Amino acid sequence: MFNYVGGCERLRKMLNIFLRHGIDEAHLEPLDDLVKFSQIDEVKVLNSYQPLSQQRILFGALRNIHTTTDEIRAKLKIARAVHENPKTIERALEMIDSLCAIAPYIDEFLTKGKMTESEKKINEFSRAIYRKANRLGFYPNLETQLKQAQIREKEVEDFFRKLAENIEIEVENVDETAR
Amino acid sequence: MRTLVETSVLIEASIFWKCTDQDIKGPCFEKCTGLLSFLKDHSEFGIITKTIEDEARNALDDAVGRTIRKTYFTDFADKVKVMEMQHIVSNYCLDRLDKFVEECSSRLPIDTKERDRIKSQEIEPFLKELVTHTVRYIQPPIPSFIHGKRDREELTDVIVQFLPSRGIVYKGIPADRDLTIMAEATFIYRKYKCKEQIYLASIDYHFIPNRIQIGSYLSGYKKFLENKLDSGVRDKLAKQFGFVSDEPSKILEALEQEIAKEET
Repeated sequence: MFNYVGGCERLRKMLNIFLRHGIDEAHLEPLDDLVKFSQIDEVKVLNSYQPLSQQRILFGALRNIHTTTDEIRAKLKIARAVHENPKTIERALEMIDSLCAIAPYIDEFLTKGKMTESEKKINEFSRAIYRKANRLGFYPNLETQLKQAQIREKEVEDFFRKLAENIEIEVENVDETAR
Repeated sequence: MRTLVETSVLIEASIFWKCTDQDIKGPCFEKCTGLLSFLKDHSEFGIITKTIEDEARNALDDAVGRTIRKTYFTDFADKVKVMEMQHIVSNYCLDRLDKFVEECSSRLPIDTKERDRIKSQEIEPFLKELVTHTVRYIQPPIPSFIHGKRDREELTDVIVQFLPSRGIVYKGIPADRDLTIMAEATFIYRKYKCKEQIYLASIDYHFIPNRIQIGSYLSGYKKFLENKLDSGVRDKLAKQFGFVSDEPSKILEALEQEIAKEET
């Protein structure tokens, strides 16, 4: 079983070495592991017996780790060519703390099969990864995300339609007595 | 003049998807974005408190959760796809929400102890007492021996027109989060020493004037009276606590008039 706390620390170590000696594109194993195992664990989470709300939160956290680390790897591979060598590493190092913050909760879920921390807190950590990655340029845009996930425009439209209906219930704009 | 933007307005404006044929949005989207666009240019008028922001996030999250729960997964691959989609859509909507919060408001300090006191000792008892005199819809007294569905409906329509008093129409006691927002509006009003007009923009009928609905329980007949609103509870809240709740479009009108007045 992959350990995310250890994985994030190995990534930090690798980035610090790159900062001192330059990027070695042939040795990105800590990143490869995070990209690979986060995708495997996404499926594990969705296959677990946990409530859908918990599955959703952990799936979101793993998805954010996967997308961010995948993007960091892609950027590191081309950093030398586009003359952004130290800048990319420094930005990637900025991401590490956010990744480290959520890693223990994922490890806990994967080993014990349950969440001890509140869903809200994990959601906040996950959102923090997304926002930071977006700001630092380590998150693909909406179109790319949909393309990568092979989601068609029609499918998003259907989901949005249902969401818009549920929002009306959530904001209590719909008067129940009218139903 | 300050406007507290309530949760429902923020969420309604956050749900928007551009389509090739017809954009997907809520029924009040235009009203809500109209006000928020105005506040973007005049952010000194807008207030979004932390409670409102957090509640908007929670409500958005709950709505996405509800959407997934209602979705039937044909197989596991379908479930993975839906989860990926909800993740992307959630982030997209939350980004819109964050943008509104960032661009359209200032944030005032709220004394949470005082707010909670106002909520539990003033607003809650006031509303609990008030709702004992309100109705969810108007039901004229028609004897139960009149069974015909059509007869009851016709009679309901006729009697309602001639009722001397109809009672106050209100949705019922609001949820705890709504009471907190009302308490915050009151706190802000008092913070300005009751000299500043405080508006609360909402599309939730717990805050704004309610549509008048008539009906007959026995025949299951119900309908809304067109263009008729009951502002009874809203006005009583305004008189007692100082904040005036209304639809975003009405508040936008008032804000524009205020600006025009200042310019002249």
